[in-house]
Amino acid sequence: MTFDPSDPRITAYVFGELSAEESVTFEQEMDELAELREAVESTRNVTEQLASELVGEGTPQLSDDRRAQVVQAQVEQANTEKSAVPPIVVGTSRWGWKTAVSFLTLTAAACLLIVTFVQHNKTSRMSGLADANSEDTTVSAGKVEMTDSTAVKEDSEIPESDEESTQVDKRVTSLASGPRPTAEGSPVVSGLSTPPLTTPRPIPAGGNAMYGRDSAIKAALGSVARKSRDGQFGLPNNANGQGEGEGPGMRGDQFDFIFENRFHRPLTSGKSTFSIDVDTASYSKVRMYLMQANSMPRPDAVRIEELVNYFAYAYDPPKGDTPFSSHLSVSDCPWQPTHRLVRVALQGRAIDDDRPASNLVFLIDVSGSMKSANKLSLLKAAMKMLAEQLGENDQVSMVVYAGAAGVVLPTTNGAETHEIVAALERLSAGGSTNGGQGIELAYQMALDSFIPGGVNRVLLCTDGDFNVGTTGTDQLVRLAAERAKNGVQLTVLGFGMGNHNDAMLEQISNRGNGNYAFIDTLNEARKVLVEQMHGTLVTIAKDVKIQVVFNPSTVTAYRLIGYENRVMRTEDFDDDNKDAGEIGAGHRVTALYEVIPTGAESPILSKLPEVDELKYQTRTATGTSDDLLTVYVRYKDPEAEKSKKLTFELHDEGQRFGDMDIDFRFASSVASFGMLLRGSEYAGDSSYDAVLEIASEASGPDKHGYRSEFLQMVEKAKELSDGQ
Amino acid sequence: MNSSSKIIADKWLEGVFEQFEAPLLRYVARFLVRHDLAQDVVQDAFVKLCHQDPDALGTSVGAWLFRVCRNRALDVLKKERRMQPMPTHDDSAIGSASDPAEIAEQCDAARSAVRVLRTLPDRQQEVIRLKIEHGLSYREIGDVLGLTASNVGYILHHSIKALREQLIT
Repeated sequence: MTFDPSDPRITAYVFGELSAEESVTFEQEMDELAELREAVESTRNVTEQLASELVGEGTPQLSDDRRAQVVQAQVEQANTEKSAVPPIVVGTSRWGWKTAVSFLTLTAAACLLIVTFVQHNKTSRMSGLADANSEDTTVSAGKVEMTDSTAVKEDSEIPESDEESTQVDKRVTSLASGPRPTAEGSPVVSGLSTPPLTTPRPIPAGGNAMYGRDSAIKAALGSVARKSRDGQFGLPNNANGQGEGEGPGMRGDQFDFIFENRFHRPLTSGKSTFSIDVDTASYSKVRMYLMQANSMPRPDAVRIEELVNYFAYAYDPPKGDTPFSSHLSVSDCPWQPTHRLVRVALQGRAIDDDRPASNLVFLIDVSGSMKSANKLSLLKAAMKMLAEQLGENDQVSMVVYAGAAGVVLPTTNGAETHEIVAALERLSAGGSTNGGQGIELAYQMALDSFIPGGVNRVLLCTDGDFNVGTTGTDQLVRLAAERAKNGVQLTVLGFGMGNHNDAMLEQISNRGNGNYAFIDTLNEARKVLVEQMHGTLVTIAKDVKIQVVFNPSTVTAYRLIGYENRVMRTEDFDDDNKDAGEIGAGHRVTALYEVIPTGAESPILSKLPEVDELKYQTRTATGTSDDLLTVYVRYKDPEAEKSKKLTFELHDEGQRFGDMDIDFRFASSVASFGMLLRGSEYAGDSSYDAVLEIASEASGPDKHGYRSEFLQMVEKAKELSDGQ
Repeated sequence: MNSSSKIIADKWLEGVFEQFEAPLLRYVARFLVRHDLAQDVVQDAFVKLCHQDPDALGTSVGAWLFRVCRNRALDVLKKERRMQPMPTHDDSAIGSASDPAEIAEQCDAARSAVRVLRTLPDRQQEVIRLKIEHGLSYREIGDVLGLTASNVGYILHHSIKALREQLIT
């Protein structure tokens, strides 16, 4: 017997294409021929390598209108076979598609609950595909359950056939785990299917743990519940408070779930740790929903800390070398009078005209999805504003990406405004999006013209709808995090509504030492890129973490309002390897805690878990301090690897809310508004009227009109929720 | 077909759509550079599936969909060529460097196996992709390409052998 390298059985054996007898014969030959074994081994290796490389190529989707056509065809077909029933009108009305989507997501919900499997008369048709998929090890739970669900639906309708079920089960599972890319973007689920999924679970703390949670949810939902991608506002105004249309993922935009922070007892968890967040994207997003789309934002689009941080509060700037000053204050809580409301604020040092030389790479998404009027044209106008601010110490280059990425403006001096503007003018949209590749190229450009000691920053301008190439959030996030180590920072500017992948953009900017703003209007562009240009471009401290330690002698329970996706584990505070938020020049950070003081009556108390006694130590308040809390702040200087720690104490002097400064009152009204939009269980006595009352009295000079705009948003939300 | 089993068929169609939407779009993108044309082809295939007698699908619904998409994509390609006397990059649409996924591959040094794959003749590439990327069986690939299963086995073996040899060196 000799070895024949051209024997096609080698490959057929690896792919399981040989019959049982053929396999036996072949394995006997393998026993005798080392070369044959090597050939099989090498075939297997190449196959696995290819499979792993090919699997990451993205999950393109049909466009909205084309999907609608397919759904229509299904419905039409169903109706021709059920001629007694009048046909449902689909197509021109978006309701038809919506119904279909809801149906899909309902199925998704069902399949997550039921894991039994029964024989499926249709699976035999698919099973042929299943046989060959064993090489692929990337099993997505979502996919498996998707297929299960198809079968589960039939449970009640088709008699089971037990003897076949095991076999089919195996096949279908293997079909489902086939070589489909795991890169899903952010799968989402409609409000309809959330109930079975949102069994209250504690928020796993910590930056990395957050990813764990996200991916677990994503895996669980997988491709089952997909976004409807119905991005425009063709739906009738569905401004209902809780109903359909508000679940994350309806109508195109993608948001991560937010599990609201709960009350904690200092006796059992005395430290509250989080990363700062000066981003304001969520505020613009909410504004766009209310004012432009005339509909309530989805609860998960509302990140309360980003709403609160949108406004310029007049905190005293730092003195000396510290990059920021801190401001602590406390009064009674307007929506829960027996509670206290604590404000923790940091004010970053402003820089005047001595902005360091800047090396900026504009990375611009010109994919087809950017075509709509509110995206690319707004983007051009916004970036022109920024270009006009730049001077001869700066340099700009421009990379575009759609199907492929390319340099459209080589490194150009910032004083050559007309050239930069001309390059912007030439941009036009078309093609699909390969964000991953664009980011690679942009970082390369930034490194090539790196200015030591200056600002080196990639400005990613996109709607975030990456659909080709490196599509997985995790991959992009990893890429951004890796490049941030080389000193290149990232600003993410989100544009447009419809297929805006908020979740991904936020994660990328968080991990890439960056900030994230959502540009919905030219005014917003001016705010972010002109008024706050220094803050957007110049980082004065990085990895800024806040840890608040509550005194159990004075505090029964506390709750951090917002910052849900910035919560960190206690031990991460002192761990310099744990990434956290950046603070830009002149930026300020405000965080609010709601505190139940000891001895106070509160409806919350009955819901708090009892303090469980520990076996070897006691859990009682000790010490004589009557401080309310101590705030620790850790930060690193922009170029530093080692963090510094600051300490501030707060004593409750019993101040009344009405006596607080306008910024305190205004911020509290914004938080209260956010809780109303989120349908928070902690909203207490809040109402849109109460928010309006507090905010209008605390608007102050309001030079740029941001606060009066806020009042308009509250009015609109009130109006929309009244119409319910 | 009674009404209850009809509901099942709809669920089945939805499942098929979920399962094959992305793979078909990626597959068709190798023939058609233009995004909208690729989308049209895949949409048409699904619409056609809705009206198709389920018992006349042949080996499997997957093979059927890939075959319909392939034939349609090739038709579109022919038509496009007629309509555009200026032969641009369309001439080498299969494996053309305008394909975003492939450009990404070229840029990424780590993706060596895919890079070598791109040097193979079109037919070999296609068989490999249908097998490894899309997980079709020999018989299904034969259905899609109009070949016998043993012919597919032969092409696949030689393509992978070529890959192995180039990757080892």
